[in-house]
Amino acid sequence: MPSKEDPKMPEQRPVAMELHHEITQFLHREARLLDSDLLRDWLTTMVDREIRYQLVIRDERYRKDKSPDADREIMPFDDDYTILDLRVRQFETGMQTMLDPGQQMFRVVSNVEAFHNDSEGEFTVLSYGTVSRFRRVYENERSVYGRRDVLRRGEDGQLRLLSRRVVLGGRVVRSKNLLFFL
Amino acid sequence: MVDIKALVDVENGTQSRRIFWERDIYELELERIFARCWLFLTHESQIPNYGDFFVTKMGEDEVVVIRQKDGSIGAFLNQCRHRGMKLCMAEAGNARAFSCAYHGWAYGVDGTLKSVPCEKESYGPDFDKAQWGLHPVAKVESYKGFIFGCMDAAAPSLVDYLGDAAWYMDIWAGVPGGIEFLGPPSRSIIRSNWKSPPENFIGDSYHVGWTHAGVLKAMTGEVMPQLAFASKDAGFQVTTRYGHGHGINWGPGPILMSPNCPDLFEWTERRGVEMEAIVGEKASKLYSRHWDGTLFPNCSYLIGTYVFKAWHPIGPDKVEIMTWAFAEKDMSDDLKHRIKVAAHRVFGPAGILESDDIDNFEYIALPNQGHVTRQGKMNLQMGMGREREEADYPGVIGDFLSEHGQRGLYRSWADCMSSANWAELEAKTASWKQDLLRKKKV
Repeated sequence: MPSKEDPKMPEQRPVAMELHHEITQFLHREARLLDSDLLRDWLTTMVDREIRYQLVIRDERYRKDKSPDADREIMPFDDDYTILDLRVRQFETGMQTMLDPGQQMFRVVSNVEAFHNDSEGEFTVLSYGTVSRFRRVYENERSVYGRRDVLRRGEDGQLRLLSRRVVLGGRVVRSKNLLFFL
Repeated sequence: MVDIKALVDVENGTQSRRIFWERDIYELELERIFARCWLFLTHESQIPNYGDFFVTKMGEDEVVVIRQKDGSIGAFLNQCRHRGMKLCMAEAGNARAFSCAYHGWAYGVDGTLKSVPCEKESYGPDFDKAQWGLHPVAKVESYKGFIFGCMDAAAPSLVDYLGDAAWYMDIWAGVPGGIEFLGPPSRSIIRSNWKSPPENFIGDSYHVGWTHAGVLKAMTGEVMPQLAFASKDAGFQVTTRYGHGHGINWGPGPILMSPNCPDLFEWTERRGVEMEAIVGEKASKLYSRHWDGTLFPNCSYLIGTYVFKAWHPIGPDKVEIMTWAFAEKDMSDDLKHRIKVAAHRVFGPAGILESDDIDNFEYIALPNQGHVTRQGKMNLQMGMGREREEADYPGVIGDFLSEHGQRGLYRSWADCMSSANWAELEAKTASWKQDLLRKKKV
């Protein structure tokens, strides 16, 4: 995980195989809903109302530079539930010329590790992903990313995404835009 | 030789598509626009301390901009003078010296060559380091904290280059305490010609209700009719001698920031009153409104949305976009943070408005692959004949829903491209205002 925070997760307790399977299936289902343009279903069934959703790009400096991360990061996404809802409504208007004809997206999720948090029913989940986007006949772009998520089990027994910090590979965005969820 | 008159017809408001694709035209742009005009480098708040540096582009020339010991600012080509290797590999930071990764020639922040490994043993006693300092950018000046560089020593001063645009800049950048850029820029590379984004930002109010219909409906619950900007009360556009231009809409400035920063409405109303004593009553009325603008050739901004952009060409068919969020220094840290997030949310790489625009910019450029397509011309005639002077506002004024600013950008493009040097360019543009007003249809 290309994040400086606690890369070895030393004090964390890894989850058992069955729970790991449940978490992996959660991530796969997310990818399927998002790839299928079922953004409202994703938001209402998989995202916690207290979500903090971030996508971070960090500038490139010499190793000896000790500037705090806050001075070095750009957040193309730093959204709560109301902003995620706004973004979903933008797609739902059907008025984005950019998305007509529709585009194909394929999210591949891998390197899933999951750990128990101190709070009961909360799990820290690390994963890598790639997303490929095909559009306008000739366009074929790919982004690579790492994620650090917290999933929380709700009173209904279902896991939901409580926080997500996506670290995007590469300093310069080369894929036209990042108008999609990772 | 490139025939400029055949490419941009200033009288009729049309442009050849070839200027968005052809390499020989692009090479002349690098020489006559990017190596001649004042170009935005960075903001003083990004390099506040001695040795702070920021690496950016002037055309396709990479430069490192460095705060000097005496507080002034130096800028140099980012390359070692020995074998020409790129010198500084970080994009920003603080340094007392810059060492080349190849053989270790080291330069001071003032650009002088400070040390050469094994100098006495390998070069002998007569090697003159003073001859091999970094190549300086000919002129570096700053206006209201915005640092610009110019590769042409014969250029007029920055304030003369800004001309009538400086009066407008004073309104939003001349606030008490000044402006602060918030964090590093987001950066992305798109497949467009470098002129399309600044053309859009200089005044294209026409696209707003169409291109951005979806996001505006999601934000406000209503579809904004394109006709909304046709009203005489919508605002006005401005063009200036060297092509800088703005569109000022009388609507409230922070409208796109409202989800996270509703307190900006109160801030701008209050600040607008304070600005009366600084810039005068007429100018202060503009402070709290929403503006789009471009300083020719390649930096743009949105006032009210707190976004500042530089558009760096990479060949005729690619552009690197740098996008900063900015705030007023006097604002609270909490508000600055929310502005930073909100500005990138609308006009960063995942921007809910930016993303609509980028697809347009790319598909203006790409069709020019076609030979026959490329022979065609494009139309910027909206509002021609309505150019006027207004006592309250410097520059030449046009309607808000028009292509007045865009025409100004291509007028300046043609002036630069058809002039061999600054003397010719200044002579050619000396009577720009009268020339422009004379074109007015009776």
